[in-house]
Amino acid sequence: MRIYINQKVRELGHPTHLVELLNDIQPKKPFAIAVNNLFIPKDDYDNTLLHEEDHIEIISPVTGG
Amino acid sequence: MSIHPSDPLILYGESFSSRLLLGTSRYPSPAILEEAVKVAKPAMVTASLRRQGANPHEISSGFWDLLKKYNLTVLPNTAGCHRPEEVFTVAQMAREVFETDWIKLELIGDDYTLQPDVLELVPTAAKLIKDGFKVLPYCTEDLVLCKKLVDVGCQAVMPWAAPIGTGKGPTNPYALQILRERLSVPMIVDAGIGLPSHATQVMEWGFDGVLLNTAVALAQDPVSMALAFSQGIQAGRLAFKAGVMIAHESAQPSTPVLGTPFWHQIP
Repeated sequence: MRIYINQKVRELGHPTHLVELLNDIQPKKPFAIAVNNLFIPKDDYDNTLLHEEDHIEIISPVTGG
Repeated sequence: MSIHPSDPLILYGESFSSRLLLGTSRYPSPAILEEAVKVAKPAMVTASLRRQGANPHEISSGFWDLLKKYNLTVLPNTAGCHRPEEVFTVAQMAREVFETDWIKLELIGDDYTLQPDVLELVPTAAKLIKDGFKVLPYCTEDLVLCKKLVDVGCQAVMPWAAPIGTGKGPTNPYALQILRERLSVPMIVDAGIGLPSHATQVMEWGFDGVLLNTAVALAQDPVSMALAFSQGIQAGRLAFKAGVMIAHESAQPSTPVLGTPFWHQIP
């Protein structure tokens, strides 16, 4: 199954919940997640099942104006 | 140095001793940013969100540690958003990451001028407010737009002085002053400020605060410039509160005329 993480392709061997993916890739904290442009709160990582061609955004704080 | 405690900036019921909101981007180094923040003592600092890995320097630079170290009030922005849907998602992500309801609403309608999309701004602000955000909308100096933003629940608005990053200062003084006269909500001039005198000027007109970034970050000495802006904003506020004199067309001597030596003396 192919998904995209910050626009980079990643192959998943089986249907995966978001929490499993995050445990695998260990994003640097703090971060927040959107799947297909929709915000996923932390409490929903466990029950968010990823699908083929999902686009996952992992964002972190940066300086801004 | 801070504004007199009896004259705080009030935004959404929260009190701030400074009237400067400082951007955190484009500084020569994280250390210089930190010094600028220490010197300026801003009410808030702005921050943003970007894809992890896209800005490794930013993420590893200790920016997050800086925010925590000084317990700064963070004003996350939605910079770069062109559609309301993007704004909602970024705002929600910002709320989770920064643990704050503050949001600087940026909804860009034109990439060249970075002018906000004034048609979408009002419904977008309304939706954010309904979702519990404390919205500070980056907007133009258009009076009706600002009134509509207030109508949908914005307790403050942030009209631009000039396009972001230009440093031109107030390009439409008439509209800004009319706006100030017509609306009583707190107003923070955001964007386009280049000089401390620009900041002082808008504060003299009665604006409640100034948000700026580039004018400090790109100064040859950002730390000194941060202090200059801080003091300029205080000077402008004090002048506004003190009440400026009415300008006259003709000269009027400030030194008493009565008793002037040799006055009307026949040679």
